[in-house]
Amino acid sequence: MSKKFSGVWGTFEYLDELTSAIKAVRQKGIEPTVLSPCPRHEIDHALGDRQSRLPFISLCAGALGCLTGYSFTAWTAADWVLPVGGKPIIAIPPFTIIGFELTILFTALFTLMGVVLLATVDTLKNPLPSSVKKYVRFQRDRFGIVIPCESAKLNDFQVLLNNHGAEEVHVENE
Amino acid sequence: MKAIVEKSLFEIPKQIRMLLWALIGLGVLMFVVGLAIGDHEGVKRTWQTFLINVVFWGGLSQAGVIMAVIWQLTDSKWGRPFKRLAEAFGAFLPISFLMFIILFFGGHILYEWVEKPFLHHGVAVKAGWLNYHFFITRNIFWLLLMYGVSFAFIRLSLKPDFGFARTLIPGWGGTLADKLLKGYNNHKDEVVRMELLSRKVAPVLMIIYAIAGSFISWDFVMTLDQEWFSTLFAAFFMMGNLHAALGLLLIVAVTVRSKLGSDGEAYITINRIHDLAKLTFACAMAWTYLGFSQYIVIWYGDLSEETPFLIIRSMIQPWSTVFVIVILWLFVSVFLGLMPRTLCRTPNFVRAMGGYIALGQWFAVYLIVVPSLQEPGHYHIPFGLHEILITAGFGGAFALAYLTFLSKVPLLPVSDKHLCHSWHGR
Repeated sequence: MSKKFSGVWGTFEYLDELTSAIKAVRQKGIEPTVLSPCPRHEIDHALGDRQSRLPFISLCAGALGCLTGYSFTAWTAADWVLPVGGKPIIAIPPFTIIGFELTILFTALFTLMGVVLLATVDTLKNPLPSSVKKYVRFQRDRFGIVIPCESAKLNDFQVLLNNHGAEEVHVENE
Repeated sequence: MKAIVEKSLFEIPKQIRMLLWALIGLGVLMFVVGLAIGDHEGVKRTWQTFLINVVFWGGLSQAGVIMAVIWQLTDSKWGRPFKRLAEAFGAFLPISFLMFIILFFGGHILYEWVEKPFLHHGVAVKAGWLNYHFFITRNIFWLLLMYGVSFAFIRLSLKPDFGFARTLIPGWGGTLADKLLKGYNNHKDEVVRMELLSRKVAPVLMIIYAIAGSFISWDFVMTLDQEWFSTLFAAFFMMGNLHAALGLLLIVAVTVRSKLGSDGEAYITINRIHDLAKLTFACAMAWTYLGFSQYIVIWYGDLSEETPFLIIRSMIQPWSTVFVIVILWLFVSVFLGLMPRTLCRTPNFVRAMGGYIALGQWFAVYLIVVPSLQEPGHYHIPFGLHEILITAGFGGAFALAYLTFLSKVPLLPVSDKHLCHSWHGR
């Protein structure tokens, strides 16, 4: 880690203690990073149910896919004309199937890419200390909360986490 | 729970009752006047509007009961607060039956095959199925069967709730409860017994709905154009009914939620309103999907007995405009309108959207019925007093039946083991 990390991180066994700790930290004006082995709505609620940018990426990708589906079929049909049964060359009904499929394909692929992109940006924005990354129980049976802060406030947050029933509390001041 | 039971009994406000009766009066007046002093065109228009409303409101009430059946079959917890509100749609079923009976008197005007059967090489090949006596007999049979089992289902669901309400407040519910609870023993045993019985009736009703509903929609709507047929038509039509029923359910759910205040909000949470809105959204997709599946096959097949139905509706003015409007209305705008999370969680928006969807479905039925009854080359959109007043009459009758039923029963299925507070916040 090139950037120096200064802050406090703690582990939690229980969800309710974690959520109350999150709320307490957010009241102090700091947005913590939370680690969890499984998705829990309670954590989202405690973090304030922030609107993710992912749905907009999906929507735009869906619209793009729909447009691609229609225009691509229209272009190929116009490029190599095959008249069939008096039907129009550029016909909407059969193109709808391609449009529909590409909508889904684009949405799925771009959503996946969006997840990766947004997660990467988020990770770069909120760096974690190496000790947190080595703590494997965040992938197994413990919740974690990482609070970046100035060295003056380290003690405050250490006390706060302890008061909210943290199992372990570590202070990082690299 | 006690608070909900206490608030369940209400009087329909006098102004609303008067308004609904006035609407019914206007509808009946228009119907009678349309039949009595209309010329040939006027009589036909009266009957066709009557038919649209009979199949729309009848299908919608049955679809409401089916929503309750679905929640019973799937053991869902989220839909439980809406179960009674959906069942209450069944209050219109007896009136709907009566309307179907009245419709039989207009059959010779609506259905071409009554007097001029379809000829294939000079032989009336469809006369075995499309003859009027058989038509009446089989449809009365289907209606009695479907509506009867629906009533049995509603009764099974009501009984333990009344029993439970009586354990909370002795003498609750008055004479209706007395009648319903005849032979009702220990509440704890009866709840289990009713639940087990209901689990048997629900799948039976579901199957009957699939079969009888299909036959009714084929017979009453598809045979307007006696040459045309589509196996998917029934599924498409019934999905439209479900969609309209969900639309009305959204209106009722939000209204009941606000009337019950904090007691109701503990059960009909914003999360559950959101879920109901999502189901309505999904239903819009399913409806479009079935409609398109039908359209594309006919488009590709290009058979002379199949295409006229769609050519009239999607390629010849003025119906082609209505066709586009219906797609924009029921698919595009509902798709975009019910997609954002924030909008689905705004009760008043969801309520408005519910009404918008139900109205849109009415126009979808209108688009299916009316062009079939017009002479080739004389296509026009008849929309005026006939359509508005008769529809208003039906709407009034539906609302009155619905409110009367709802004012006498517990608003939520209070004795149901699946009725619980929502876990994930409000």
